[in-house]
Parts: sequence; C-alpha cells; structure tokens
Amino acid sequence: MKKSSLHIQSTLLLKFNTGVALMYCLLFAQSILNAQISKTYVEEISVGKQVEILSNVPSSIGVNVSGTVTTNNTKNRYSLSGKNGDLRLNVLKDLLIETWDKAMVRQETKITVNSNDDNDAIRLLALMKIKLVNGPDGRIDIDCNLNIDLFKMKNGWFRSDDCTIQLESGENISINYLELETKLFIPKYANLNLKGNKHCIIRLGELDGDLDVEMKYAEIYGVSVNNLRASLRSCYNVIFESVENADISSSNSYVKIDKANIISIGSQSLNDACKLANPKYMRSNSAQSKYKFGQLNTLQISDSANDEIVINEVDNLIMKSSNFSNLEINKLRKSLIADVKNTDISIGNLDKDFSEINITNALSTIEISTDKASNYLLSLAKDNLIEGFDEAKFSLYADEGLNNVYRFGSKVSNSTITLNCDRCKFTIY
Amino acid sequence: MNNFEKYLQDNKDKLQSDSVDEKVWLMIENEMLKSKNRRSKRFLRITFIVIFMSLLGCLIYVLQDQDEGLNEQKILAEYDLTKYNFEEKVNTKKQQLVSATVPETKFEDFQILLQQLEFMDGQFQDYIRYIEQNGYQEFIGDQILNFYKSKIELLDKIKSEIDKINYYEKIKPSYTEYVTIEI
Repeated sequence: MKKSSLHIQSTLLLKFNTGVALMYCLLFAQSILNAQISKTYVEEISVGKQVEILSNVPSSIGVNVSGTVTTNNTKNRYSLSGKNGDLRLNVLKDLLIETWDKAMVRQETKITVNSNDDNDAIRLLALMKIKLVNGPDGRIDIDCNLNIDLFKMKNGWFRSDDCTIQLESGENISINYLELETKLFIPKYANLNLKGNKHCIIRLGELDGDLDVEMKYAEIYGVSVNNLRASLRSCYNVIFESVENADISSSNSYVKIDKANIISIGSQSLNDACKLANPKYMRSNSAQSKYKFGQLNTLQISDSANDEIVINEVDNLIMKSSNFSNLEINKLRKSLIADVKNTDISIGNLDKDFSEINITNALSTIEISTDKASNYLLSLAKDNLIEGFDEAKFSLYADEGLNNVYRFGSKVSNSTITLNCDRCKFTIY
Repeated sequence: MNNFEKYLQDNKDKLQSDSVDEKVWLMIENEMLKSKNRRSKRFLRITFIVIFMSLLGCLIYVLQDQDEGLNEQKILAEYDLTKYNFEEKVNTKKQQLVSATVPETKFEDFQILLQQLEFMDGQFQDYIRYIEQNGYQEFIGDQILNFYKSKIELLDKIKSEIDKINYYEKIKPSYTEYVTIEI
C-alpha cells in the first residue's frame, strides 16, 4: 500500500515537472519567435576622382500612419509608437558622415526587426539591400533607408497596431518593430548633396569638396567644407568651423561659420522643400535668420529681411538689398558698401587703413567706432535728417552742394565714409 | 380488497378524465409560443437599442475628436509650454498694434514684416501637420519655443519700427496719409 502511494506521488511529481519544463520551453520558443533580429548591411564601392554623392537622411523614411500615434522619443531618435505606446519605428536621427583619404564610398546601415512571425523578419532582412551604384557621371545615390519605400502603421479602436514595411519592389512584410542606424564614409574630395525635410542631425567630417544642403528642421555640424550651398528652413543649428565659400538662403534658422573666404546671403531663392505652400508669405531669400560669422574675407548680402548678422572680423562687405535686418561688425578692415533700408549697422572697430564706407539707408541707426590714428573724409547728404552726429568733432573740409564733406585726422588719405541716410541716428567716434 | 379499493375499481370510468380537445391544446401552445416570441422580441429590441446607443456614443466621440483636432493650445500643453504664456503675450502685443498707423509711403516697405508674421502663422500650421503625421516629436517642442521667441521679437520689431517711423514723421513730415497696418 505504501509502495503504491509513493509510486503515485513520484508519478505526479514527474508529470508536474514535465509540465513546468514544457511551459518554459513554450515561453522560450515564444521569446525566440519574438526576438529582435539585427543585421548590419555594409557596402563599399570604389569611386573616381570626380564624385558627387547624393544622399537623403535617415528620417527621410516614408511614413503612412492611420490611427493613433503616440510618441515617447528622445531628441536623437525619430520614433513612432502605436496606440498603446509600443515603439514601432525607431530611427537614429544622427547621420554621421566620416570623410577619409580613400577613393571609396562606404555605407553601413544596421537594421533591427521584430515580427510576430520570425520568418517575416528573416525574409525582410533578406530582401533589404544597399543600392550603391557608381553612375556614369560619377554620381552616387545613397538611400539611408536602403530599399524601404514606406513604413505603414494602422490601428483602431478594436484593432491593435498593424505595422508593415513596404519595399520599393512593392512587397509588404508585416513587422512589430523596425530600427535603423546609418553611417557613411566618403572621400574627402567628394562633392556631397544632402536633402531632408524632417528633423535630423548631420555630423560631417572635413570635406575638401563641396556641400549642397536642402534642409528643413535639420541640425548640421561640420568641420570644414570647400563650397557650401545651403537652403534652410527652421534649421536652428548649422555650424561649421571653416568654409571656403558659402551661399546661404534661409528662413528662421541659425547659421554659424567661424572662418570663411566669401559668404553670400540670399543670392538664391529658397528651394521648394524650404518654402511654405503660399509663397507670398515670404519673398525674401533670407529672412528671420540669425547668422554668426567669425573671420571673413568678403560678405555679400543680396537679399535679406529682418535677419540678424553678427561678424567678428570682415575685410569687405557688400549689402545689395536688406530690409529691417541688423548688422553688427566687431572689426571692419577695408570696405562696406550698402544700399539698404531700415537696417541698423554697427561697426565696433573700423581699421585705421580702411578704404571705403558707403551707406545708403533710411530709418536706421548707424554707429561707427574709428581708430584715433585714422585719417578719412566724411561726406553727409545735406537734405537728410540725421540725429546724433557731433559736428564739432570734425572740421568742414568742403561744401559739395548736395553734401557736406568733413575731415578727420591731419594726414591726407584716400579713406572715405559716405552716408546718405534719411531719418537716421548716426554716431561716429 | 378493502372497501376503498373496491370503490375505485367500481368507479374507474368515472374517475378517468375526459380527453381534452386538441384545439384547446393548440391554443395553449400558440399562446405559449406567442409569449416566448414576445420575450425574444423584447430581448432583441433591448439588445438593438444598447448596440445602437453604443455606436451613437462612439460616433459622437469620434466626431468630437475630429472636430477638436490639433490646435495651438493642445500642442502647447503637450510640450509643457503653457507656463510661458506665449499666446497671451502674442495677443497682447498684437492688440497694441491693432490701431497702429504708418504713413502711406512707408506702408509697402512695412509689408515685409507683416508678411513675415503671416509666414509664422503658416509655419505653425506646418508644425501641426508634422505632429499629425509623426506624433509629438521632441524637437518640435524646441522649435515651437524658438518659434514663439521669434514671433514675439518680430512683434516687438514691428512696434519699434512703427514708433521710429512716426517719431521721424513728426520731425520731418512726408505729408502723406496714414494707413492702418492691419495685423
């Protein structure tokens, strides 16, 4: 009797243990089935001496969402979550573009997928591919999102998140989660062209070639670039250490360049991606932006409206059209030619050997601080209403009919300051 | 056999009940069926009303949600920006400019600043579209913070430029009509 009871007990224990083990096996199998699978795609191609690289940015991924989108993202991630806050799309917004001496372009993209059906995830990773192709004209197109055409998410009251990746081939694959990270390596001498209209952060190494950017909501941190052409809207940090030449059109942006040869502002109209639907809103090529420049050879302002421009040192400055902008120069070495309106100009330190300042302006405040050792002639239009000018500090040199010419300094000099500014406040000291 | 048993045997025929007419049974059955049907109908009616009311409730909720959509207040609250009272500051500054006038000759130049103000309104619509498409992305909060600073700066600029124009107009009149800037 005792033996039989023990036998039953041991049988029950064995069955219980088997059940527990089976349960763990099932849970393990489930966890394997729902595990995230990652794959890093790497492609490297040789390029010629003339290469132009066109790239989008990671956040350029096409998105089609129908239903509830909840977001709990960090600044460096472009992410979309479903109706219960489950993270569905997670794109690293940082696009690191390293430059090297090799004549090679390399793309590294890490994709992480999670799907209900493991086979779907494996199939998606198998179907994804990098498309680096060396075009006949030396042009290489880079898609940071490989061959993904669209990330689609649908949910509803009685429907949980239904996420699908649509590939460029038209194939749709069901997933739970997609993560993307891209890194590029390009030759230093390459010309780079970047486009994006969603928030992204671009970190670019030293580039001896040219950089062309059309960006909305972007941050760009660069070291050095040969020629920079930028069309920017609401880009709050576009920062470079040195640029040979730059041509910038922007609205509501912040641009900082520490050193440059020639910078041009507003010479070209903003690209379509940087415009609003109604173009009448903004006619100026540069508006409501803040520019901070370190050391420049020449700054040319072609079309500016209500910008704030601060320069540490500049040799030559030409302002063709500016309305309601503010210009603050710490040190001006040679010349300033300005035909503007309502534009306040402040020169903190005018070099004693400057050549020419010629300002046509109205309704503005102009302040010039000159070197005590400098010698120059100051010409003021007689019919202008000018406040703040202390005539007693100058000796009248000539009466030229429409202008009074004053002389500063004891030596003869070719340096001239000509001011035609009606309804202005003008101080020179 | 006792007397009682004998009595039962003798009166067996009398004690047995007459068979009931089939029509009566049918009537009873019909009556029972009708009652059952009435109960089913009542149940179905109540179920239908409950489902209808639920669907109506859902529809009203969805329509209300659609009507509300995304607006400036909702977005400011989402990014915890209500503490800055941006809307109030903007409205106060706009209010100060409602009746502001400038000489007609200066009005066209002034349009540049007014268009920038319109551009900024359009910009906010762009933020709304972005949020509708991509949810509340964190950087939009930073953008909106800068957006309002710029908008307030712009309104201050408009005010100071009007003051400047009118100050010089008093000293050196252009003898043109004044026009309202219409913000």
